[in-house]
Amino acid sequence: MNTKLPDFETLNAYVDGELDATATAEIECAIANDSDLARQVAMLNQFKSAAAQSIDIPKIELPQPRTQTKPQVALSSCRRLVLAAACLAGLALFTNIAGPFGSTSKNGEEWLSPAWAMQKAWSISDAGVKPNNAAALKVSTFSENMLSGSYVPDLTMAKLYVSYVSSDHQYRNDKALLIGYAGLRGCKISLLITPSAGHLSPLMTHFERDKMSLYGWQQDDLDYMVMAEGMPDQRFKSIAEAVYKSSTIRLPVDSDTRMALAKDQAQSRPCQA
Amino acid sequence: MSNDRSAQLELYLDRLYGYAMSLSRNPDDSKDLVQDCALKALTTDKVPTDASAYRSWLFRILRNAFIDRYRKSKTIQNWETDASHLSESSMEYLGGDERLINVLSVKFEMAKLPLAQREIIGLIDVSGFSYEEVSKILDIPVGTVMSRISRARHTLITAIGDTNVVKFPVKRRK
Repeated sequence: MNTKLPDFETLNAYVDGELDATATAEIECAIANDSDLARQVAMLNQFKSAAAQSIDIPKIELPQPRTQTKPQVALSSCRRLVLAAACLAGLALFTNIAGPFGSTSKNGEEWLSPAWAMQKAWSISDAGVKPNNAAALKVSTFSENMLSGSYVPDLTMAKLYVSYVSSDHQYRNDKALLIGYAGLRGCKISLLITPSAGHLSPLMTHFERDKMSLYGWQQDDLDYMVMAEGMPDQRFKSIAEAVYKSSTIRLPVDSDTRMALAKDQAQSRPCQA
Repeated sequence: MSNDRSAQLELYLDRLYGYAMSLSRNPDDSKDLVQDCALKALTTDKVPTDASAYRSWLFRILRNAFIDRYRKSKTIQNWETDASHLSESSMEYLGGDERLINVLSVKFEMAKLPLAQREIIGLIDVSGFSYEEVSKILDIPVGTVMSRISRARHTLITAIGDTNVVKFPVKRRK
């Protein structure tokens, strides 16, 4: 039996979700048998959490064009600023027309039928809820191996915990990654990631069928679909937007969104499937 | 095209600010750095299409803007020419108590860290990058990222523990 403890660098890589499945399992086994090691990991997690919140982020605007005081002379040198202004105006128009995520609502499309079925199948299962902050990190590493480029965000701030992971599903003859998140009050949502079939656009689009709701978008070469049944509309939309943003920039949910999701969860009613 | 580019950039503004703060430690300077970076990103001709490459490219622009702005300062010169001044503190397990680690103590001690250590914490813990992405942004091997982040955390957590230790006065025998 190997009793050698992991070095400090490896422990850091563990809390950052940078180790492969085998190394992660070895560390977890060591943590279970060594209280000092568990304390080291707790300190590192505590530090990561505090560091993430240590910088107050103000509202940042895209650059504003400067007032043009010397039109004849400065015209050519200001081309870049003018272009930036055009970008800003375009962004304002885009935001007004389509909303920040371009979400529009559609009835359930036939090609989504397998996705609805997957959500249904997993949500009626009795998969247990395991509140564990590290779960999403591990799933993230895991998913990267199974479906290159996929990103699975941590949603524990919304009291949703990864409790089902499967890569055995087939979706339109392609492999699919299905992640099930379960809440503490009966809420279950699914994140389905598949190679893109060209039905979804990069903008988040809303679909509905019966009581089921689905937000879908394309990111790089993958389709992302977030599904729920019986969850309050506004809460589900906020969660879907957080997943959309996370998958687009491939970074964890930012601190403002985390707070908003936690508040939504506290104020919302339990899910009614 | 411009709409897409602006919308894409907006997703990163707060993370760029977090990174800028970890470099400059000054809110106004950080806002200026983000503005410089955004302007460059919006007006440049060739933008990486791959999301990961785009992110690395964006943060490198901010890093270069920081270097340009502070090139004459001694801090930058040290940072650019020699990253080996990073703390040589022991990489043994940490002492102390996790209850002492909170937002205030981290903020207080982070300001005292060398620039290279603030930067790595800014990229990984504040902005949420993976080691591989940081290695692209800083143009260093992943192994160096791994050792640099663990050293930075070790230094900072040890400093927090030391700051919170109150030494009792000792009476000396005559």
